[in-house]
Amino acid sequence: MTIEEQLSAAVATATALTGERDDLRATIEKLTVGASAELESLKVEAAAKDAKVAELSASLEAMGAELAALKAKATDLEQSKVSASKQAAVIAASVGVAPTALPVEGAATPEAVNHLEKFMSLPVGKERTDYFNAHKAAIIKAAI
Amino acid sequence: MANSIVAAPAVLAESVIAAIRGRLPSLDGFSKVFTALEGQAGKAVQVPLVGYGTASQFSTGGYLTGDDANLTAATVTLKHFKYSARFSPLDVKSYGAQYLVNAFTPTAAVAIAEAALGEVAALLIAANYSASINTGASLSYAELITAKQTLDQARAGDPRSFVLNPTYANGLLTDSQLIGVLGLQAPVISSGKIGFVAGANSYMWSTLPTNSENLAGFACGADAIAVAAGLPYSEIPGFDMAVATDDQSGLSIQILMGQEQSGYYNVTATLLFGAAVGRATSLVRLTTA
Repeated sequence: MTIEEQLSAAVATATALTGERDDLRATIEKLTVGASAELESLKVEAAAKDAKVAELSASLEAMGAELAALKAKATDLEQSKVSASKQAAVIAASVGVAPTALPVEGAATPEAVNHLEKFMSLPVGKERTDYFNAHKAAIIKAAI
Repeated sequence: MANSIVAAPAVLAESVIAAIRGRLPSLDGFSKVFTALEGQAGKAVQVPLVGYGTASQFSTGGYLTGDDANLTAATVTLKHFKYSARFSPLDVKSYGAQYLVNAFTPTAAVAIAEAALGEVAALLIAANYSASINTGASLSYAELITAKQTLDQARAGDPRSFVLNPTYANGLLTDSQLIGVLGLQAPVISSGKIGFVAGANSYMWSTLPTNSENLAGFACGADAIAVAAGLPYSEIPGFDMAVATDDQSGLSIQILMGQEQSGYYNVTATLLFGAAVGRATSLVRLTTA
């Protein structure tokens, strides 16, 4: 190979390398810019999420306060309901009606008094005699 | 407890004691010891006599000298009385406890009361109580006062009683001095009872015996007669037992009930009772001759 040929080849190589270098530089610059943009975007996104979290926390706090207020209100209402029952009983009694509690569903109803059993459980003496005289018919009826 | 006789004795005991209570009011006028303790016939009971005492002046002897010479006691020996009846199980099952109460209570009460009164009546003889007033065929208010005078002089204890047979008791209801100015509004007219008169409770004793001494009544202080009662120790296998006590007098009755081998229900009312002479001068017999 001649000198001219060698020079020409070297120039071509240098040109190619320069082009390749430029490409690499462009790529690196491009990559650098992209990373910066991405980082910037992530920062923006994080800031938005922080704001959202703060907003939600504030909301939650507000809801907690609202719940406490509602519970207090419910208690007040329950108490006013009892007072209303008492008031109703007082009004009923004032017109000569003896208020009687209605049996609660599921609650055990009181059993009828077993006078014989009660009589037999008392010790001999005045108390037993008085009980016998007070419930004589029921005791005798149940005795046999 | 249905279809069982376990509770029946308790029911009968309460019924019988209530019936006896009305038949032995005069016992309230005697010195008495009534308990529900169990014993047996022949048991001796010391009955303090309600009397009078005389206080003495305190001296060097201190309190060691007894001043209760007139507050003594009488020994009463208890006897065992019982009234038993038998009932068909079919009747009891068919008619229930009310049938038992109706059939047993009145008869048992009369029988037991009469047995108790009989013990007292046997004491009312001249050999025990020498003081007597011949009050003739009928008794007057003035004669009651005479008897009261005798008790006063003997310093008989309180409360005091006039116990009269029906002739004397009913005769007094028409006594002009008891009716007095009240006329038809007098208590003896409306109630048919003499009640409290001349400082004493009056009782009618329908079955007061004459004791072959023309006895028609008596006036007494509480210390004249001592009575005592208790309950027999009774354990019969297969029988149920119950006790009832009159809270006013303390008198108790015991009821035993069980089924005999014959099949009949045996119901028994039982008690221990006795009477004894207390202070002989605290009783005046009223006689018709």
